[in-house]
Amino acid sequence: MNNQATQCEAFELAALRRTRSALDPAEESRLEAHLRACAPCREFAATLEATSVAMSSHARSATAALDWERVRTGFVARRRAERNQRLRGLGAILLLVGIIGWSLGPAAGATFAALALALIGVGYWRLVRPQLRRAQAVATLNTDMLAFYRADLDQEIRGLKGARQLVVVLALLFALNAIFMLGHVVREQLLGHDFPNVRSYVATFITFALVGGAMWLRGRAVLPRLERERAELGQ
Amino acid sequence: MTSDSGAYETELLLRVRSEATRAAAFDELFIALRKQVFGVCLHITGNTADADDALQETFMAVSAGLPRFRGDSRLSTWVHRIAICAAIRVVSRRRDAADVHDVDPPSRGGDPVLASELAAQIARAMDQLSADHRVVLSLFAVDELSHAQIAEILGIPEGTVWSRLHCARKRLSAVLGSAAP
Ligand SMILES: [Zn+2]
Repeated sequence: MNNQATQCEAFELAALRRTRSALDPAEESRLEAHLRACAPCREFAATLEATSVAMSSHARSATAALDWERVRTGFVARRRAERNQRLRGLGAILLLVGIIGWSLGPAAGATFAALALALIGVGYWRLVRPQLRRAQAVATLNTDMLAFYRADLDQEIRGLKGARQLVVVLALLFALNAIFMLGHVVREQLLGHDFPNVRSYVATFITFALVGGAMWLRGRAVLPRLERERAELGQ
Repeated sequence: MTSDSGAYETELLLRVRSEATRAAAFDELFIALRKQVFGVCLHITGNTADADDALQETFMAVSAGLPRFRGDSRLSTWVHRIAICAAIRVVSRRRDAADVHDVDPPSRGGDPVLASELAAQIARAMDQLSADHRVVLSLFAVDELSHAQIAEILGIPEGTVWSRLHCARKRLSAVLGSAAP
């Protein structure tokens, strides 16, 4: 019985390979002979044939009903919208870096601006265009693409979670620092001195609040979606 | 594009690499692959609206990524891989919206009513399969894709493609059987 099951499995595989004309004449006639003698395999082949025909004709009629011009304008418009979103994001980053640079003075400002631009720019690119990044990654793939897709999503989810945790830690540090600074300001005020560097402190705080807040919100919006995408892929 | 269109794809890749001819090459690529890609997306997502969505996402990513495409794989392989990712993403978005799964198959050829009823059953059954199974069945439902191309797209050996297809077929039959009255 077990032997029979193994034999039938081989013929089921042969029936599948026949749909892509991957059988040689000898295999083909062995399959024919087996199908004449074996009812379960005949049923397997019949279901295979019927479902293949149904799927093909469904695809054909759905394709015939498509308006290709609408599809075309659709993805062109999407691409434009995505490009505009990216430009707006880059504009916002430049503005923030400008504010901080201005508050720190020319030399320190320029160094800071270059570093911040490089770091935020790379992070932003990865956040805004994960699809494109993945599209580029799958071009060079020579491993199981679904396994790669799973691993890549896992990495993206880990990265996003890590970024959110970093924002929380930085927010705590900022809060501690703010309390310390407040004490400092009160003391200086009592002694009648001016508090130095208020401008740079406020600028750093605003930048952190904006960038950190945006990262936090983006994570909150994107993480559930990524996790569902990951669940869709299964183990 | 079929399995013997390798030379054509190589020639197309040359035009993709040059900025002057890239736009026209992209148009050609779109026309050559749109039906196959739509078919794959249709079977993975199970309905035309989502397939349409995935198709647009695919070609948006292709047009954005084309300037950096180095030809590490065949163009058609790359486009199909992007389409698989896009279709899975669209399905996960739909599950998020908790929409009722709509299937919309009219048909022609054979008995249209029977074929469309079966297509609807298949789409519902596919929805219950794992992504691995759904993807391999969807690729095999596109007649123009050879098994060698499917192996290349999935990045697995041909033998593994057949055994994965066999598993998927058995699962599909089981789900279809349990759904039958
Ligand atoms: Zn048998």
